[in-house]
Amino acid sequence: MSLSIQERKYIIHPHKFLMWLFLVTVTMAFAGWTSAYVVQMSFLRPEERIIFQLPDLLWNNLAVILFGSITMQYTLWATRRGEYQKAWISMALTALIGVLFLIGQFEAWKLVAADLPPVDARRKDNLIAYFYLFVLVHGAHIIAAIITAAVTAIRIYRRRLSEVRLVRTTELTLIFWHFLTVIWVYLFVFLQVTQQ
Amino acid sequence: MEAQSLISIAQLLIGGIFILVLINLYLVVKLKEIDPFRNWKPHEINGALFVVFGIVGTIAAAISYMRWEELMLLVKFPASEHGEVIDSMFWITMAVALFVTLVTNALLFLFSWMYRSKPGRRAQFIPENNMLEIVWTAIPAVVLTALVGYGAYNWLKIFDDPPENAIHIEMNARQFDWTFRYPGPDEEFGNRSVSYINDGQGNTIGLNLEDPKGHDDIILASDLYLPVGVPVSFTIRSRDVLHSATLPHFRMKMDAVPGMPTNFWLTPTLTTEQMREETGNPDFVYEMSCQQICGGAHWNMRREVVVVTAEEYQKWLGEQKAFYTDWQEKFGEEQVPNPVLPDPKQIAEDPDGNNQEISMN
Amino acid sequence: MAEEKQIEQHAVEKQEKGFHDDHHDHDHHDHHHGSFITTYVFSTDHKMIAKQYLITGIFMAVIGIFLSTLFRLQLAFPDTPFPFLEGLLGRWAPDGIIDPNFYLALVTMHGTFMVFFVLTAGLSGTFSNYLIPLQCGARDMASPFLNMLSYWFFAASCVIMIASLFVSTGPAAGSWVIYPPLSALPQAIPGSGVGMTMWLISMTLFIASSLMGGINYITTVLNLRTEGMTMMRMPLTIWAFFVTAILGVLSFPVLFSASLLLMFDRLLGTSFYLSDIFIGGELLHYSGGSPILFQHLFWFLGHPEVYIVLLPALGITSEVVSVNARKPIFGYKAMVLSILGIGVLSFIVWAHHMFVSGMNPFLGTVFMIFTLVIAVPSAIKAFNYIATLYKGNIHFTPAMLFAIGLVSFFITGGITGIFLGNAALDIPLHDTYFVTAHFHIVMGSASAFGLFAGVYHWFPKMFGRMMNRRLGYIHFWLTFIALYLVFFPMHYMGMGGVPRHYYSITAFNMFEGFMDIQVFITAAAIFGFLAQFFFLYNFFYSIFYGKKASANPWKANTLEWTTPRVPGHGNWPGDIPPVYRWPYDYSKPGIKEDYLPQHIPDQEVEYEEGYIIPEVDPKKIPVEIEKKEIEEG
Ligand code: HEA
Ligand code: HEA
Ligand code: CUA
Ligand SMILES: [Cu+2]
Repeated sequence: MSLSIQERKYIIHPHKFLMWLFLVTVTMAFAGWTSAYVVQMSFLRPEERIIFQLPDLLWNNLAVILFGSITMQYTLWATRRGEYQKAWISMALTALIGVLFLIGQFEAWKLVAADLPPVDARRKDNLIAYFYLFVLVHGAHIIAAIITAAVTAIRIYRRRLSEVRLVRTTELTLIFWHFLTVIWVYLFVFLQVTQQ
Repeated sequence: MEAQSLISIAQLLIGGIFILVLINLYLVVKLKEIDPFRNWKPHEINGALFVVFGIVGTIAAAISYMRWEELMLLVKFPASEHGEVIDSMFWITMAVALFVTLVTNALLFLFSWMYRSKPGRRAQFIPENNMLEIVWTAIPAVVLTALVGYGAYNWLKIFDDPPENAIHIEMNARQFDWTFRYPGPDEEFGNRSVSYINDGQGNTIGLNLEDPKGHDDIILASDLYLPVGVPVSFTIRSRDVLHSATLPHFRMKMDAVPGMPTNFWLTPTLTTEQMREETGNPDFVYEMSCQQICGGAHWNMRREVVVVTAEEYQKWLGEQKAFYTDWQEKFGEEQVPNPVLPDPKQIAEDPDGNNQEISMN
Repeated sequence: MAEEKQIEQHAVEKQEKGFHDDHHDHDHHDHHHGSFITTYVFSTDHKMIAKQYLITGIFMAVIGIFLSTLFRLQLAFPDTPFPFLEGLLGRWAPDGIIDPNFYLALVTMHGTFMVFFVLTAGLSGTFSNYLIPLQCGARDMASPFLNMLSYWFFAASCVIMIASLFVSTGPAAGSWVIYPPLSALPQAIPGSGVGMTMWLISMTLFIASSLMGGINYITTVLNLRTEGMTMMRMPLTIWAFFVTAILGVLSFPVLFSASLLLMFDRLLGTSFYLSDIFIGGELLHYSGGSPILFQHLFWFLGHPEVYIVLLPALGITSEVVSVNARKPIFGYKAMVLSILGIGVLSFIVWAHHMFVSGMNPFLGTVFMIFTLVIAVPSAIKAFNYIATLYKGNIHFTPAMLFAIGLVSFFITGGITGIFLGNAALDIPLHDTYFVTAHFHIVMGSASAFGLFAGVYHWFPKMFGRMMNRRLGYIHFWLTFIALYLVFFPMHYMGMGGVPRHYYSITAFNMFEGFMDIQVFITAAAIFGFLAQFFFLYNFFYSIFYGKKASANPWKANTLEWTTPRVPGHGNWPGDIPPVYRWPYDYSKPGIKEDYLPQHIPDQEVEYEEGYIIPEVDPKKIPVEIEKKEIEEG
């Protein structure tokens, strides 16, 4: 009656559960940063808040990352049906989309920086620092996701793993990727709302 | 008994115990056969020791309390109005706490002794008792609600707006001293900002020398003077790191936060003279300390506080020279009141420098 | 033979478990006869990892306590030169008198070591790792690899933190709560230079480590329990570790958020926490930030953290008290509920550390209410422990002594929390030695006793040998007395207004009178420190030369005692035993022995002669029957 990890029937596989818990921790970190922003805003008198222009490029980036989620979903679909050829290509495509997104974010960063009034010592400009912060920490996670996606693409291509595991690996990558999309949507909306 | 000899005795005792114990260790490890403690029954001894510990501990606590009682200034001789309230709260809480601590610890130690293992004994199988559970949830809940209610009421009162007739004093902290600013005859403070600071010219708090309201401000880096019976409202600032303006006798403590003024108000009830009589200590002085870690000399940010009658206070204030006058005499010819600034209008000036509410959360 | 096969099968399972393929190599070595490196160093076996945590924790504890004796010397004898200090600390103690900045560094490092490295990693790391799989009935953690990583991140963070003691500007010195601006500006205190950077890096690794540990613990508890082990049949230790892990997973990321922003302020010149600062003769460019923001973020972790420190200790106590009183823990359900209650409440009380920080007073009221509410579940726990002793048959093993000591400390220390939690009372008491007394008794003493109780109790399983009892008794009594002697008088100093973080109290007339207490405390602290050598000696001696233990020396019910004397890889040589009842059937009426292990099926229970055996439906796992019996008995 030995009960080990593979003999059991799980409602949710432990590794997926680990992934979800990991996402909880990331969520908490982002919750920390955004609530810091809210608290900080409340500290400043209205005239001290510098509202900066969010570049329109951000909308494009949003579209890009959403598209990435679609290709990712397609990968899972293909993997489940055993169409590995399609799967690895769309997974690789997703990774490329991630890179594209990063480039876009970097451009947006430069636009925001260029748009600012010249630095002077007395400006209460820390709100803008939050924009940089969000882009930076989210970007760091995206890099991790791109690497994961690339590795998964290679795995699907080589097909060394059992089917079950391939699907599970893909699912893990997918969860992570969708999660980052959701986080960015959240940050984007958050920025749009707070900059009104 | 003299403290010194008490301590020597305690140290001797401690040393003695330790040597005994080391001998014991030797016995355990090396000379198992002739070990005199071999036949001691651990259950009897440990159970009994708990009871002894409880009794001796309680007595020791009582004696030592009496020995140091006179020094406990936080719970004796409050020198401000709200201080009296806080002290009464302290003693009420203390009564509850003493009761709870003594009873629960006594039960703990007694049970340890009473139910120590003996041959033939079997424990009674009592897994739960919902009635008891409810009782001992409810009692603390009721007691705590009472404490919270009383506490919250007083807390909000302490942080209520100061009365109309309150005088304003500004406390300025830096590493590592306090500077006090009194508003002078116009009862208003001049503008200030960190960017006006000029230590060379003595402008350590960054007074805006172009602001006429500030020309009569009195800025002193020396003892703090307070009038008895008059509400005093403090604005507390720091120019570098966190500090904490603490007047223990007045039960006042409030952090000094760079970039954000904080406030506290109180009404002194005893002058320094009166306190000398009360405490029977002719050398008594009120002291102000810093109680937020702020660097190497945190332990030394001391100022004396002098509480005098309202008339004496007015007289004393009248004798002080305004900072601006002083500055004019010394540096007036140089005619650069404020250092050149990048963008004067964006400066963190404080339009509501005198204002009482704590401005942020 | 069967064993051999089992292990092979296990190796296969492990491959399946590897999170990424590249760990396969790793798992291959995890056989029976792994090399030295894989067995003792990069082991993925939860029991070995637990021991690694324990030994590292002991090492850090020795350093941390030693640092405290150093600064205690300064507090007691502020003007007396101790030449040996110059030898030890070099230029930080010119002429044998400690430098004020370095005094603060010592205090900071003492606090950091003790809270994070000893009582968070040392306590949770050791016992969650050791007991979760064993008591839940699992072969290992959900992800053994992640578990190993967790330990090595922790080890790295220890190394960096210790290394920071030796940098030329000294280690971090802004108190363990690292409030900016002090911790952000090297101009303000030398320790805020490289030392602080290393502190932050070390803590980042530490956070990563405890998150990896935490998510692993949660997953294991939820997914890998053996058959029959329902949540309400878990030992209270597991409940405590489980809730602790949840607290950690929710709060540590926020500490990371806070320290990342601090890092930015320090390195990139942003102004998250800093504003309007003039220091070292120049005006800094920071503007618009708020130090209060940091305090909110820090204490959002900081307060759950103190319960992360306490809950495992309470869990261990529940188990130890019940086993050694030979009685079921009183009010199991109430205990579970109060653990959950403490867990939830601990997230909404953080600002009680900030009553006089300049925070909005109305907010203070809210937090004050929640703070005092948290005393209710704590009270339930305290009373339940006492009720468990009532009419018991108490075996005074060293572990039991420490557990009783813990309850005493928890009450004495917790009670002072009631003073501090009352915002109005906190005005005078904040940042005085009253606070120091509070947290040393409830944390430095109670939680430390939980750690000791755990070590004495599970040592036989960990190392297969017994620790010497008599040395255990001596250790307990010396430590118990010493800790009360050290920390109780601190209340008096607190009531005298003596502030924390004071290099010397001689500058103030109002504090000077306490010098004799200071001397007394220092003497007692050194005494307490020396007493720990009884433990150290006993611990290391017994690992190698202790009496051989039996498989279940305390006659306990939980599953870990069903493993062999020294459980091997995979924990159970045969099948994992299923579970038929809760773990607290001690001295149950009618049962022959005074304990009834969880894994004995009802049909095999040995009853006393003449006892009418209750009927059992062999197919049913008898939750209901038990309840009835309890009510009858
Ligand atoms: C293990 C760690 C631990 C634990 C469990 C606690 C438990 C509690 N703590 Fe403590 N605390 C710390 C560790 C801990 N604390 C630390 C480290 C600091 C300082 C940090 C720093 O600044 O460096 C601190 C500081 C601290 C402060 C801030 C003080 C200040 O800086 O001014 C406050 C204020 O509210 C507080 C309150 C409480 C309360 C109400 C509890 C409650 O949970 C206690 C509940 C327990 C009991 C009440 C006892 C048992 C109950 C009974 C026997 C029932 C009967 C009781 C009644 C009817 C009243 N603590
Ligand atoms: C776990 C927490 C812990 C522990 C055990 C201790 C132990 C001690 N502490 Fe500490 N202390 C802190 C946590 C702790 N401290 C913290 C958080 C601060 C605040 C720092 C800051 O403000 O930045 C502080 C600050 C602090 C101060 C205030 C300094 C100041 O504000 O200026 C003082 C002063 O006397 C002090 C003294 C002592 C002494 C004498 C001991 C000891 O010597 C007493 C002797 C202890 C023992 C004899 C047993 C301990 C055993 C263990 C910990 C278990 C180890 C066992 C295994 C791993 C199996 N401590
Ligand atoms: Cu200023 Cu402490
Ligand atoms: Cu707290």
